[in-house]
Amino acid sequence: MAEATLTPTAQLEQQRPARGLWSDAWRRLRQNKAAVVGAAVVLLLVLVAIFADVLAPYPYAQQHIQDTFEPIGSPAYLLGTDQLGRDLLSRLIYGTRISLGVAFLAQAITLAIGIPLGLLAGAGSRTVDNLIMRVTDVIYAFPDLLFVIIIMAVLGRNIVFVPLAIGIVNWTTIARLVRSQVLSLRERDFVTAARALGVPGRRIMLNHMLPNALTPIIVAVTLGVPQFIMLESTLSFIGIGAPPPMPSWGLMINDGFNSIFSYPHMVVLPGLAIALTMLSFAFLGDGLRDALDPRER
Amino acid sequence: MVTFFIRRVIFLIPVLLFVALITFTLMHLAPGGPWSGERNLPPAVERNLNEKYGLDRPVPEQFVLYLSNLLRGDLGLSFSKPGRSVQEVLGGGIGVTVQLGLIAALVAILIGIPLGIIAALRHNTAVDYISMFTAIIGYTTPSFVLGIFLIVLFAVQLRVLPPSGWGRPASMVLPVIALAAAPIAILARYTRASMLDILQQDYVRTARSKGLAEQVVVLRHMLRNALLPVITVLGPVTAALVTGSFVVERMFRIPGIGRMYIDAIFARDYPLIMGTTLLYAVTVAVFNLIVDMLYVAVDPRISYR
Repeated sequence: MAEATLTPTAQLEQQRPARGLWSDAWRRLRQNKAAVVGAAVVLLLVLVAIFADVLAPYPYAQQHIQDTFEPIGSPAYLLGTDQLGRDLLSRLIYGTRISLGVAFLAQAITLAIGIPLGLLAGAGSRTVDNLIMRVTDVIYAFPDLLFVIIIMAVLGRNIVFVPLAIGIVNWTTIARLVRSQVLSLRERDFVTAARALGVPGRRIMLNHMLPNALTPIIVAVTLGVPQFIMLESTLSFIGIGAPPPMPSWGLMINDGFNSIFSYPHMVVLPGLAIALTMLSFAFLGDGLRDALDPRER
Repeated sequence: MVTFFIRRVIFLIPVLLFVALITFTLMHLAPGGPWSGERNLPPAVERNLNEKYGLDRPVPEQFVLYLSNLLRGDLGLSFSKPGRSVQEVLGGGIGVTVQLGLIAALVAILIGIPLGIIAALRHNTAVDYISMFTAIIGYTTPSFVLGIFLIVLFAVQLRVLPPSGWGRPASMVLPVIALAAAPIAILARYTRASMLDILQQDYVRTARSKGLAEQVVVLRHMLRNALLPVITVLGPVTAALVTGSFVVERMFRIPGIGRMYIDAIFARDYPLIMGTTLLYAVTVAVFNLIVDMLYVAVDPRISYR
């Protein structure tokens, strides 16, 4: 008899317990095998980056002049050594820190510039919107690698400038995304309601709009990280990113490139590291997109 | 359509002007100058060189001078290649770069689109999974990493293809694969998604239910509509080709303008940097414009005002 007294909505809720957006997304993410594997590898890489000092058998710049070009599986060096007798395993481990550190920092910079400017463009006056959008148009017209290369030439070959250069060039994606979210959220009922209640504009933006725009931002961030890992390694490979003796994977490939015929493992190992890292982030990003926004499948 | 086109072309002018201004400013902010590479030039020689190339004037004046020369089609003299104009230097490399880009684009279209179609038609089968897994690997592996793997496998281990150079068909295989991989993956993923969308449309069911051969349904009814949205990714595809060409040309020692650009940056060859940047910016802009035009031309449902 108790069931009969339930309203239809309550009955529905009984069949399917109420869950928030996040727990729904989490459930969908766990069902996606590729995303779970990607997330596990990403977590592992983050741990390797944090505990590099503990994990690496040697300091990354330590040279063993008597043991140069050791092959994979040599007794003292699990993955061999390079032209200066530096342990490749240790350099790969420390390289994780550079790759992830640069990519995360670059992403933080794109968010720090892109979110405020996107909010401003979407919610501000028409003049401000036009101004910001024209700036993004100009930056968009630059092929991004070209722009990053020029900025690095100005700043100089230093690892701390790499995320800065990447951030300066890539904030436009986030700004455009936030702007379009604000424009569509602005017309929604809950925003109108908040405005009618007299909530100040700044609070509407930060407390009502930003949380709702979060989902696409999270996806953009996850898919942006591998792109920035690629940019960093490309810059270092060209020779204007990380300076020696830093163990950037791109620079390691550059180091080994001249001896590719005799010692291919010197380039293959960092190449695999880059490919594996980017693949994991892409799996995780794709999975997150499907989990957070099931309409876009 | 015509007014839209004209507006877009006019809008390009300020954008390119700003690209030129930013590049010019950044270049002159960069430490070191074009002569700092050559060891200890006597001050008098350096002064003469600066005077010859107009570097002794204030930077804003140099920029105005550059622009007025540019309008007359004069890109200036290259610093690092004495006696040669930027037009000559770019002219010497652009053929190779365009050749590389076009072959890679062609390969990408011929492989990527059929791959996407097959994956969609065999949705959720092993064929679908394998092609999409291959696509995501192609999409996520940077072209220089793929280049490394290709050189190690085909030039070092199997010794069937040369590791560098350009001109003979055999020497083109590896760089073209390295450059085309990302565009193949982008096209395959997009075509598949688009085809899957079309598969559920009523008119496809109608076509099937009236007994048309599967081939006719796929080619006549589905493919045409499925390829429409694919046109929009030609923009990102061009961008991937442009970005990739820098690294691929450097890695395979191909004498194109991508490799020249990086050398020009190191040599602080201001006119050559400017010329290359503008050339690339114009190319990307024109391609985006063509894509937009193509989209309107192909799909009657869309119109721009």
